[in-house]
Amino acid sequence: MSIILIGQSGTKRKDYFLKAAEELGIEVGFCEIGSYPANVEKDTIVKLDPPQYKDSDISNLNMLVRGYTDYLKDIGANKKLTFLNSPESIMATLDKRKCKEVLIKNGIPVTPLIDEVFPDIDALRRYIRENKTCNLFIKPRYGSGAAGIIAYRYNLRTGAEIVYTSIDKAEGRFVNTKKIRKIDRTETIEDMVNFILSKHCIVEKWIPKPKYNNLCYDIRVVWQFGKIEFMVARCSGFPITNLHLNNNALDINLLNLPQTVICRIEELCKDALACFKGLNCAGIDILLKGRNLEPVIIEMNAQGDLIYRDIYNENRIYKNQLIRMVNYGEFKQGNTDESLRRYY
Amino acid sequence: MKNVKKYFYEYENYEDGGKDAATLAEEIMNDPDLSTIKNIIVGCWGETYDNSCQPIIDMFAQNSEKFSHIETLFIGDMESEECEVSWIEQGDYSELIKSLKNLKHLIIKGSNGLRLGELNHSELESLEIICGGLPKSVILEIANSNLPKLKKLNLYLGVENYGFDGSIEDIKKLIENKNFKSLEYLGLGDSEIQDEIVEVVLNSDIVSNLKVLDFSNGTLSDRGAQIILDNADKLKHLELLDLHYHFISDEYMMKLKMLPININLDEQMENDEEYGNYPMLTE
Repeated sequence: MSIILIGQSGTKRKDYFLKAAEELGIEVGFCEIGSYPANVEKDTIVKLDPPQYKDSDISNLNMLVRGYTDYLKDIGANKKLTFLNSPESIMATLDKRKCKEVLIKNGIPVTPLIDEVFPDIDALRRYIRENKTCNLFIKPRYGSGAAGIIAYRYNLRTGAEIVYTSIDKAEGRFVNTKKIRKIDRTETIEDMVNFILSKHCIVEKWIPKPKYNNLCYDIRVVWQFGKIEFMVARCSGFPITNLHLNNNALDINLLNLPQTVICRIEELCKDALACFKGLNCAGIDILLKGRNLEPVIIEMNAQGDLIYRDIYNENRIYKNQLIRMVNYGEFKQGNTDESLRRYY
Repeated sequence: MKNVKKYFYEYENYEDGGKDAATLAEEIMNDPDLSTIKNIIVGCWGETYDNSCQPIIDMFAQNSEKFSHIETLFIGDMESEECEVSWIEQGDYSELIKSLKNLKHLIIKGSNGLRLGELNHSELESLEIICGGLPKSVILEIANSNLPKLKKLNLYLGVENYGFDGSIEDIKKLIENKNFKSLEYLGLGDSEIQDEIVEVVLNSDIVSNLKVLDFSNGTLSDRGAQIILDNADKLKHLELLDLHYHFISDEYMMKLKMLPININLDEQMENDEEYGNYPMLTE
């Protein structure tokens, strides 16, 4: 039995996964994304990390994701390998529309997807006026994190628009930045929204997030092997809460969530994971809706297991992955097939 | 705050158009707890950018006997997740102010459609308006007010893009109001002309009776800091000079810290060379 991490050098994911392995005395081979592990032994188990794109140009995002999914298909064809998360399950959550459709089909509560294609901002405005749905998120269909996300607001009374985004325009190109800013200039908004809509994207209703100390928050759960491994609240003064945008991670205990809410979160995650064959670990972003803090899924990411609060402390997410990978027999039989109730 | 209750709608209450300001007004009116509540907070009343809170304001005014024991009224307590502050549709408070004779504290968030009318009130102790841009008309209403017990006046002046259409002359008229006999706290912040505001206030007579002077949340720069340094003698009696959220350089912060005045210099902001400096609350 051997363990291989397919990842990227110079990333925290690689460094802290290997650090966890070293601390546990487990030998882990490493292979760069794009290349293929040589001389694979029988019973090899692989963890697939996502690439960290150095190119911030949003035009290139689809192409980069396509390159990665092609690679996932290739590596998935190697029947000698078993995966922590199967390449198919990773691809299914990388496609935000497909992921959401699978969840909806299985009756999992999610933030509402608008089932329309908007060729440009005028079509979007028409939809808003006809349906009185004035607050929306526009997200690239592929990819993870806050890359390319726009929180868009339309004032039915005045026609004014406001967006919050980490996208900026530099030298004529739309790029991702680490900072969220608010834009209210119509020309800038039109330019940006038309650009994002011209790419593959999804549009969702923007449901207000609950607040903690005047910051809004949602919850990132890392679920693995049938239980919550880690939970952190992501706080922000802006509607986009992604942790890589210098937002605040908050100890979940400070929220004093009722036990009933925690139980509902657990149920929700369990049900969501059961929708994807070969998915054992996932980062799940959860919004607590309304007075009753009803959990609904914003997004799921099969590679959403990097939590700074964990790697700099116990590093238990990666350690527990390794322990399960070492216990290969249990892993192979216990969680990949039999426990799954629904497939996409 | 004791005996306080907040009335508001969640997104799921109004997303299908079922609830609005009129229904929330009904619910407040018919709350059986009303007699025990002294402080009322009104949060999101539905599509607050499309649906003015006038029915709520009118309900208070028309049922003044039922609300005669209310000491605090905060209308518009909501975060930007619910509505941009500059999009909140406020209303005309003139009848409410006339009717609620025992009201001590009035806080208003949002300034679209805001009108205070003739501000004559013998009991009002504090008036706060939190907004992205305060209209000149409201500034002049306060400038002409008669609020003899007013201890605290805190106004977010905001930016031109979001409704501030006044000038430094209007601010001058405001601080020259001779009826502010009890004023202890003056807040004129969140302004894009914060340095000019500092200048006009420090060159007026209003400062001598104040305990707290609040120029926070605006675009205060080294220029404003120099005006404060030049007028430091007038400020020694203050309990607090609140300058938090500012664009003052390290050098000038050091100079201010040397003054024998309690100054809040938290939240030093970086100059934004690309888009220019903005007050804290503008959207």
